[in-house]
Amino acid sequence: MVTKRVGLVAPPGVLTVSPGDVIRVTSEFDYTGPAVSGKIYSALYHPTFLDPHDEIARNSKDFSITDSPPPGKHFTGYVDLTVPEGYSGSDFGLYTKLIGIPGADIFSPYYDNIIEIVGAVPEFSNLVITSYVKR
Amino acid sequence: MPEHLDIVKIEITTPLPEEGYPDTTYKIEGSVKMFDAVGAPPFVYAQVQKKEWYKPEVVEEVTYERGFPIPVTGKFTIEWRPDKLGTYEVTVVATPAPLPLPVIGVPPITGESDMMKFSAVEKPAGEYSNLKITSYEKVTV
Repeated sequence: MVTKRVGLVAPPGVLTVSPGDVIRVTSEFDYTGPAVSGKIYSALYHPTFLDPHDEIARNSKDFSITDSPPPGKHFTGYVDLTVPEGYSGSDFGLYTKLIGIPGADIFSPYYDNIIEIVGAVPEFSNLVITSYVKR
Repeated sequence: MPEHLDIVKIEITTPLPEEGYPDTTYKIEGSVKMFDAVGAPPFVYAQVQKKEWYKPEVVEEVTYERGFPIPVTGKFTIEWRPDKLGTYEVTVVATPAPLPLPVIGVPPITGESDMMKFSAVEKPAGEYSNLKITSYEKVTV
């Protein structure tokens, strides 16, 4: 199985996607402390009247880090998000948090307006006349 | 107090750390040697006494973790996992027969190591910093 990667972008660059596409969100952090495991959680959101970070897609992945005395360890991980149907616009953002760890969840900044969702453009091809008859 | 016959020498090569965390496994490694005796190595156990300042010693909680000495070399490893915060006194003891669990009666002790003190303390919280999204891309499988 081959994974094809298209359009690698770093914040604040804008990635244009369509419903059904998969966005791979790569996050990183530094850690100092005892061995720990948890989940790295990323979400695609957009602002609504009630919630400035209303999540429309989310996913998480397990991670574990061995004992990390100072100066600590650097960790990089990714989460894949599938863009749901029914949304379009350029006000979509991403954020990541660490969950399932001892203590409170740890949040990344909210990266607003970095994902643009465009409706799937119908594709027509191979238009040809295949036959003609007298009637 | 168990009957104590000093006929087995217990040497600890990897003692417990002085401090550790609950629900973490620690290893005690060492070797047993019988003085002027031939035969199968004795049974070894880590005798773990949970120290409670408000309890008289005789009613303190004592548990045993078994180790398996290798024939000829007598080397053994005992794994122990404290499950509570607090202070423990751990001594490796040798017996001629397996101890029934839970221990009933007075087992004969044929040798014992120096006592190791162990404090199970609260696991320090880890420190996370610089959590950020570094890139995002479209992938197709």
